[in-house]
Amino acid sequence: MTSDAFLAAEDVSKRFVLPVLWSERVAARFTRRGWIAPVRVVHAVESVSLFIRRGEVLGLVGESGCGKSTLGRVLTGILPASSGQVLLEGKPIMNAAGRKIDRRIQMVFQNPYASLNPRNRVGRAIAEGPLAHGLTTPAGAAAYVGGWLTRVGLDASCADRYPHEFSGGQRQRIAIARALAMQPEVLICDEPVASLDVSIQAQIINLFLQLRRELSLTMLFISHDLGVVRHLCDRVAVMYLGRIVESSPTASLYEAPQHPYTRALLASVPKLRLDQEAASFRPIAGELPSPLAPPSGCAFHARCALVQPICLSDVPPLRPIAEGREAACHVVTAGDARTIPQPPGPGKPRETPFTDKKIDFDRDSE
Amino acid sequence: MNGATPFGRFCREFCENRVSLAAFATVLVLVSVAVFAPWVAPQNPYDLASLILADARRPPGFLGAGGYTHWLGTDAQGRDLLSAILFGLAISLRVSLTAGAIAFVLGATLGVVAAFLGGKIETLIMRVVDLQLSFPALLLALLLAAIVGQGKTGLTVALVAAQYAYFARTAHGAAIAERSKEYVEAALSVPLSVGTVVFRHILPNCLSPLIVVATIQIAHAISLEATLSFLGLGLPPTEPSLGTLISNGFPYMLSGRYWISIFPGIVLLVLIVGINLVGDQVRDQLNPRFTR
Amino acid sequence: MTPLLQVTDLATHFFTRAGALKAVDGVSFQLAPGEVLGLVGESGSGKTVTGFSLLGLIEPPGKIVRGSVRFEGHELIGMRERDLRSIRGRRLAMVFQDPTMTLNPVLTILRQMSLALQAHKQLSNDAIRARCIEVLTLVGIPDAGSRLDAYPHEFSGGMRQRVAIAIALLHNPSLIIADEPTTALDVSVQAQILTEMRDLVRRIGTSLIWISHDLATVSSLADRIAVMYAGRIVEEGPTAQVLKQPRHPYTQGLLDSLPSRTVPGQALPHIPGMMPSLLDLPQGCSYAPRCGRADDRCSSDPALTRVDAGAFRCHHPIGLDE
Repeated sequence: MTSDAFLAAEDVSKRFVLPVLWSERVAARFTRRGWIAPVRVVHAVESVSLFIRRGEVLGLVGESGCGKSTLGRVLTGILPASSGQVLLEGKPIMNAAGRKIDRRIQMVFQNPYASLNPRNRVGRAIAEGPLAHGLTTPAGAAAYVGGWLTRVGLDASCADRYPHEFSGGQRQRIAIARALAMQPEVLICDEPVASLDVSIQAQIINLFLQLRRELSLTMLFISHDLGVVRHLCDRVAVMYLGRIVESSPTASLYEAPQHPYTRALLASVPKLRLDQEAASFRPIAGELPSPLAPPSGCAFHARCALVQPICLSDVPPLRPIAEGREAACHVVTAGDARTIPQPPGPGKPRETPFTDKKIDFDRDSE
Repeated sequence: MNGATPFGRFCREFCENRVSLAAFATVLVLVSVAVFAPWVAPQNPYDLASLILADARRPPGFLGAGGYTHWLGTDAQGRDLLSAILFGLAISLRVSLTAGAIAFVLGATLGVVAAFLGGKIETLIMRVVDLQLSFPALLLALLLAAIVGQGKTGLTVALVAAQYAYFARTAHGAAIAERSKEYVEAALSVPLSVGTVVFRHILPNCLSPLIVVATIQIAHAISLEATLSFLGLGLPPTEPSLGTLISNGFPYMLSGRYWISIFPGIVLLVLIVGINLVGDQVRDQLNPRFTR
Repeated sequence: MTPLLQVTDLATHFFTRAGALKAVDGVSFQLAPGEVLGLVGESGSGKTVTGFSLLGLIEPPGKIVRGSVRFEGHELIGMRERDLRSIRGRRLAMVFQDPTMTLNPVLTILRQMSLALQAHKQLSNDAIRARCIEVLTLVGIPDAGSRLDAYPHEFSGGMRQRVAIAIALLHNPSLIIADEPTTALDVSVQAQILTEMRDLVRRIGTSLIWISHDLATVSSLADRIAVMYAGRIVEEGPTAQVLKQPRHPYTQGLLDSLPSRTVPGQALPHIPGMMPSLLDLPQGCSYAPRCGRADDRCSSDPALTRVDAGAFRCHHPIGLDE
């Protein structure tokens, strides 16, 4: 852990225990296990250590099921970590009872239609937190709210209207205003532009760039969109099945990705370059394993072209491979990073599809 | 701008359905005359001095010795049936609405709190609620009324106990859907206190299904109360509600003096059907719709 | 060569309490056999409603108010529901965005596919099974035989979408309309399905209309692209031409706002404002309020102009403005 870490996660894990159904207990009775049904645990986040420096924007990339949203919520303080802790300026953000005590971390959510209470006027939604924490007074609330609305590019009169009267892009601006009204030091954005149209996306990305400059924000930007992350972030961390597999400054990650998953992921996204006519891409072979049953050793081993025997048995730790760069891969960190050959084209799928029942992530029922 | 507030839009849509508008108007009329009964009714049925025994069991339209026409006839004690109905209506409404309101608050709070706290507390509360729901409401009300005894308190307790479970179950279901929504997460992450989140964020968004249940339950409460009073377990005979009036007139049904039972019965019927129609329209309007 | 599909001046309006919503307002295009058309637009552009209109899946308060859709020589608008049903699924199939909507959760895959098969053909159980295995293998589901008795929830999202595509292929339709089939899926799964669709289409010769909001995805698959805005096609042409030499300012704006085309950290060029409400479209060119090239001439509706192999609707096309 470097000494200039502003927000830090120390060996954070988050596991959800799925409730055991009575019917499963009965089924277990008939399969030699007696009355004890197998307990299913979802390893959403597994031993993650990362840090963000003050004023830096860290991108967190990965596909669905990799745990980035869960990690984002643990870092914001919405979910308590199962083990490990989250520190802001060296102090834990949760108290012993698992309640968030530090208001300096705020979140912007993905779905602008669901993240605003439909029954509250916009002004009330924005002012609620600051009023509860003494950042403004009831008398000064209107002006306070108006100030933040203007800052995100909306008219101050929007405060008297209801969320349903606004478009997706405008609602996302309101959500950003609400988060910023708490005067946070760290802003955690969970896929904030994913549900927006392309032209609105560009507007909101520009808003983030502008706000970052004006307010010197520290940000964690969670996204599955590699193009957006590249545009906004100073450093990027790539997640796969609950673990960070690579972490690197943005430019070097996109120019010379080291971890086989990062390489495959970057290659699989259709990109439209100015000089090209059609987008080129190469899909990754195989299927995403289930967080309910993570593979042994390195989670990516079944889809990796560079797999070695050790990859099946040992989980690769996140190790430095170059200045400011880390990767969790036995093969890449063993030898000289530059001599690793490019993985060949798509192979035959080797994983079987999994059951992806909807998991209730609301409560940690451990 | 009337259309902007959700309530304004709601009222406008409501008025577009003629049937429910008529039903609402009828109910409103009934409630108004019940509220203004002391001034509207030709006679105070509780004032024993004003009763003229000689005018007992007279048919509708009879010009009584008191100088006014008994439009709906008189009952066994010579009470003007119209006045008795108006006052009885007032009592029925008062008791049912009070019990309904208490049941609403009690049930909704229990349901929402259970949903938010989760775990064993939620299981405990909801199992009790489930047990209660599996009991026929009337049976439960009868038991309680018999135990607690006659009188307003007993009746209210019985009605509340028979009804809170519907509110609790509905509130619980709605709150479970709401608690996993992002605006609740957003409120928790500020952080706002649990109380604020539950009562100022989750509960208001559960109101739609609760209001639907409430309108149906008012009618249910009225008919429950009438049944209990009819069976003699409700209010004392000195304060007759509609159910008591029907019960009082029952022995005379076969001897041709139908009006003593029938008219209170008709008023009860119109009231309940009216409330149900309004409730149907409210339910249809509050159905979740797509909003872009 | 006669086009497989010829759409002329298609218009679908939704008659709501607030007025007539002109979701699609004069869309014309054609499709040759074996061709892939990418229909691109943002939300509210009318691309999904266009797809639904082609299949006759518009319900009240929506109504196809005018236009003609000629498919394999038959006019689909105004056709009787009975005749439409014999075409739907057999000659013309659709793949929807959300596979959980297409697949019935209480039926096994085999049951759903055999229902789809038997809607148009009478086959023996063995023949049904064989055909199902055939199409499932075609869409890249390994070990299809043992998968037939599984339920949809036992599959991942990507697999479910593949099953939906397989169902569409059961009767060897000459046209498949795919409405944002990969939008809800992960990036890597998206890539897999795109590749498979590309190979499939080339191999079987089915025509494909791929509806999407993502220019990059569509460009990797489509032979032609049509860009929609506020219920109209504002530009169409061969993919390479539309992407390298867009004529309509909206197309140019969409391309410019992609992060991959700007230096990281710089403000992205973006289109100001929002798409107009379809209830209240501006007079003349509906893009004019947001367009940097608009002037008085744009208060009149631009007509369709054909240039090279493409077409556009603009008074001030890029590169051709006098």
